[in-house]
Amino acid sequence: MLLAHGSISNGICKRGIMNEHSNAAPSKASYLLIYLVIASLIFLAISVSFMGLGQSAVFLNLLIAGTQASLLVYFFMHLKTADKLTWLIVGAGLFWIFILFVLLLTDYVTRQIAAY
Amino acid sequence: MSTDSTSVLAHHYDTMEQQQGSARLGMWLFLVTEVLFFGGIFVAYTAYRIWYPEAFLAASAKLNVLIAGINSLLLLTSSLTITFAIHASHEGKQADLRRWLLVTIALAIAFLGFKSREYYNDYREHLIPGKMFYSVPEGEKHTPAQEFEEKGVNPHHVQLFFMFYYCMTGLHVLHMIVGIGLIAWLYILAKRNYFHHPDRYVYVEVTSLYWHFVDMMWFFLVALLYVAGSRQHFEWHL
Repeated sequence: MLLAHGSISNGICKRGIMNEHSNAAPSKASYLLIYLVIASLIFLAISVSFMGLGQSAVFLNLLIAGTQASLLVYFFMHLKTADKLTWLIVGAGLFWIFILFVLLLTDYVTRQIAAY
Repeated sequence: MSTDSTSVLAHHYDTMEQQQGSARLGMWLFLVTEVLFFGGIFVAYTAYRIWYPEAFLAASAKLNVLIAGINSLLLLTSSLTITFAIHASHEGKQADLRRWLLVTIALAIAFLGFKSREYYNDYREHLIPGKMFYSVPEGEKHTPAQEFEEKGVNPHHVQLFFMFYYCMTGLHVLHMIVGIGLIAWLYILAKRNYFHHPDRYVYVEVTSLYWHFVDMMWFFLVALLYVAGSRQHFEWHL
C-alpha cells in the first residue's frame, strides 16, 4: 500500500514544472514582454475611470484585472509549464470562488424581480 | 551547512523533482485558501455595491488614482525582479540572486511608503468612517458627509465604501508585510550561502508564487476601489 502510494505521488510530481523549466527556461526578454503588456493594462485601467462610463465601467475594469491576473498566473507563476495537478488546484480555486459569487448573486440580482 | 546533493534531498522523497513538486503544490494549495479568504470580502463588496451603486462610485472618485497607478507599477516590477531572482538562483549566480531579492524588497517598501502617504492624505481629508466623517477638515468649508449629501449621495453608504477600502487595502498591506519578511528571509539564507546548491532555487520560486498572488490581488483592488468611479480631470498630487 505504502509502496503504491509512493509511486503514485512520484508519478504526479514527476512532470513538475521545473523539469521542463530547466530544459527550456523562459528568457528574460519574454518576461519583459509580459511585464510591458501588464503595465500597459495598468494605464488602460486608469484611463477607463476618465471615460465617464458610469456603472458599466466595472465590467471593463474586471476584464482588465482578470487579464492581468491571467497573464501573471500563466507566465510569471509558470502555470504554462505546470503539471496537471497544479491546473486541477487552480481550477478548484476558481470553481469555489464561482460558487461563492453565483449563489450570492442569485439572491441580490433577482431580488427586485422576485419581490412582490 | 552541508551542500552535497544527499542533504538537499529530504529522506522522505524519492527524487529531487518529487521534493520540488511537493513544495510548489503546498504553496498552490495555500493560495487557494487565500483566494477564498479574499473572496469573502470581495463578495461582501459586491453585495453592497449592488445595493448602493451611486454611493460607491462617488466615494471611489475621491481616492488617489495617481498613487494607485504608481503602486501598481511598483508591485508589477517587483514581480518581474523576483522572477529574475529565481533565474539567478537556478543558474547558481549568488550575487545576482541577492541583488534581485534586495531590489524586490526595495520596490515593496516603496509601495508601502506610497500607501502610507495615501492613508495620511485620507486622514487629512477626513475620509474615515465614523465621527471624523462629520467634522470639517483643516482648510475646508464642508465636512465629507455634507459634500456627498450635496451630490445627492447618502453619506452612510459612502462610509460603507470606505470601510471596504480600509479593510481590503489593509488586508493587502498585511500580505505585503508578510511577503517582505519572506523575501528578507530568502536574502538572509542567500547571504549564508544556502542557495549554493542550485536545486534549492525552488524555495525562491515558491515564495515568488505568493508574491505574484499579492500582486494579482492588488489589480483587483484597483479595479474595484480606485477606478470604479468616474473622474472629470486628473489630479496630479501625491
